[in-house]
Amino acid sequence: MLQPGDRLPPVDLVTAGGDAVELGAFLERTLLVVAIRYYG
Amino acid sequence: MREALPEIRSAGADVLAVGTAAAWQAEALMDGYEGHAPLGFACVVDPDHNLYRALGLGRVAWYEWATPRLWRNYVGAFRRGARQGAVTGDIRQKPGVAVIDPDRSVRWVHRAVTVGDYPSVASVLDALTRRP
Repeated sequence: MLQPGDRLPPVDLVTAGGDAVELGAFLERTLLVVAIRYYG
Repeated sequence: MREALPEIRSAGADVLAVGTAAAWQAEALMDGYEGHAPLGFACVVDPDHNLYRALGLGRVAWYEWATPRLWRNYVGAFRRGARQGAVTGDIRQKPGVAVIDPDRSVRWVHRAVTVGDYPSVASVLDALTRRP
């Protein structure tokens, strides 16, 4: 399991507009990622 | 998290919300809806659970639905004003919070033990201001 200090591999996501995007597109700054179960 | 956004940005970071579905709900949260103000940070979806797997976030086992902690979290969220909307994603996916630096290294990760297990804002800010 990934530990602090390890680097994330490419992670494919989908924008709110429905387009494919890789996590790196948001990594201009340090990122606080809040991964919830679902929006509801 | 919205209330802590100024402090998070002062610490040199930005926020990205990730859900298992659905893009239209992410868009509504970003833009604001039914009297709710826009979140002020980006929301994306991860229908294939790529990020969840990469961060090692688990899934809720069937027996965990019977644990008092899970239901305490539900009741606590309800008391704080949270209301359930349309369920469009994976209800068994456990949440998590991570600090990821621009070189893709994971500085800190909180893996939820059960549903609704989120770290305090104070511990998130501590992780953000702590140097790797």
